[in-house]
Amino acid sequence: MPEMAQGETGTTEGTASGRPYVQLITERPVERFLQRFFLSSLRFDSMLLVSPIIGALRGTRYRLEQVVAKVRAERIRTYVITTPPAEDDRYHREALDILAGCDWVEIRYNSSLHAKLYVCKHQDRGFGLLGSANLTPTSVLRNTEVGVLVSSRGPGQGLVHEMYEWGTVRLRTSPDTKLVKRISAPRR
Amino acid sequence: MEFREHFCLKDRHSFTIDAAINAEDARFYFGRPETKERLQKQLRRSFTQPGVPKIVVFGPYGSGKTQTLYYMEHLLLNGEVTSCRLKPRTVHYNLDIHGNSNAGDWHLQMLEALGKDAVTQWVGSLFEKVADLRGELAVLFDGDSNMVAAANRLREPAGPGMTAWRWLAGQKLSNPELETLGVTRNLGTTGASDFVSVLVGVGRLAQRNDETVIFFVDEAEQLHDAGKADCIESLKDYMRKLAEPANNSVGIVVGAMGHTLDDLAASLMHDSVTSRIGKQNYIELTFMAAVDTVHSFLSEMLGELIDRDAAEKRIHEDKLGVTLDTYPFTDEAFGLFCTYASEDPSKALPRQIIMALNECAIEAWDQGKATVDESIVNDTCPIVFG
Repeated sequence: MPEMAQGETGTTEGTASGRPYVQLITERPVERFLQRFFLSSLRFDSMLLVSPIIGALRGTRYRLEQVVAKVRAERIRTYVITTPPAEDDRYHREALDILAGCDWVEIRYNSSLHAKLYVCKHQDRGFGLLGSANLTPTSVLRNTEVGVLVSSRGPGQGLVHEMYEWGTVRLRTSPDTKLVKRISAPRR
Repeated sequence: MEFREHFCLKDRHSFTIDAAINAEDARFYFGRPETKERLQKQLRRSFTQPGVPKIVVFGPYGSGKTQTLYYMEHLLLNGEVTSCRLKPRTVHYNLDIHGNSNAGDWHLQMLEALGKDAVTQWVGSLFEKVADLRGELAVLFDGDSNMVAAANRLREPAGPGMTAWRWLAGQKLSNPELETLGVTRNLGTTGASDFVSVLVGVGRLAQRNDETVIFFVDEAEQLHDAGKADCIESLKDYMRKLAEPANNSVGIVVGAMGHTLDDLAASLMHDSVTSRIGKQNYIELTFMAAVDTVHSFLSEMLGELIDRDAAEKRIHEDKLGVTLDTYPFTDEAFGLFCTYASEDPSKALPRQIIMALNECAIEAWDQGKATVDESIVNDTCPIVFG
């Protein structure tokens, strides 16, 4: 059994070389995803955040402002798909305002969204998390959540790619999904 | 209206081409007629001499290596390589190499990708055909009694059969397991050649069953991840042995990221390997730096992905003012797109072009436009190619 980091538990599925490409994460899966995003040696070119509810992640290890700062600094094309916030949902709106302040973030609403999927990609490499957790401090700090973290090693590469394609193409072009804010790049 | 309907797409939800997800996409090879011809030629020749393909496809990220491997597999599986007389048994997998990986790790991945069931079935079929299975296996495995013993016992039920498979795949067995299996040592004690001997024997076994095994090994740039000198040497030996003329039973087509031959790992570009594989079997995928090349790529691609009847009807009924040749682009937008795509040679690659095409279409979809115009191309392409 390969060595597992804290919070990685349960079943792991390895490649023939013995390294896991898929791991069950039972503790703070979203935080584990963000940890990889911040600590990976890869310079990501794209990120997908699919979460019905999004919070500013205050009081957690990685705040949304920090995520956006990295996205801006490294010019990471970031696709956010979430549900439209209710009139009085200041919590969700605040997070969307933070995301909307970045030129490299696209935001779309899908009112039937229930999926939670997060993917970071650099060319053919990267990782994705599919699970129960929203991108909120509650899911990081309080809720019991579970997620499957897939790395682009061996068979994991195809899985990460499929997760990414589903989110960035299929979900973005679903008739239920509406563009709210596009990525803005210098026009020639 | 769905996205696919909006753009008259045929049998797909987007402009994405990915044979790993949709097997039907393996038939596509756009915009590189010389490369396409060369792939066909080298595949055709390989079955005459040396008997199976030994080919390395390399190019930068996004240049279409994976698609090339799938396309070659498609040619074989669809009888388009007439010199391949036997039924091709293709095995496609992504190589996974880390710091301590050696020939044993590579061999394990090859055998696991091929699968125990296939090899067991070949042994079983041979058993039905010949009077002396052990004698026949001895011919196939060059008289190596351990390999013969392990191959022979594959037919046994799960326990012993699985132990035999583990031995053939190069896993280390305990002394009692070796004894029960009837072999005198673990595989690999004589180095990489030991593993290749098993693989070549398995290839001959397939041939005796009228099949020919061809591995398509993708992501071979991972060979760079091998860290220790003895590991690098071991991996190089494995490839060198597979490349030997003596191996005419197991084909191997490798895809690896690299701008030039020199960027490839030692296992693929060392003189001892290149001289055996032959320079003509190193196929480089280059950038699409010329506008015309992008133009051909995109035209051919749209020609395949768009339902032409539906598009023609749409163009006519909605008076879109575009031609079928460039739909869903306006003529001007099509030209502009090709210019953007070829402006920076390092970005002029199929993957980038397909991504930009999808993004342009999504932008048009967001704006409720039936076509991709210049404004959309100007808004979108700098994000992808900029």
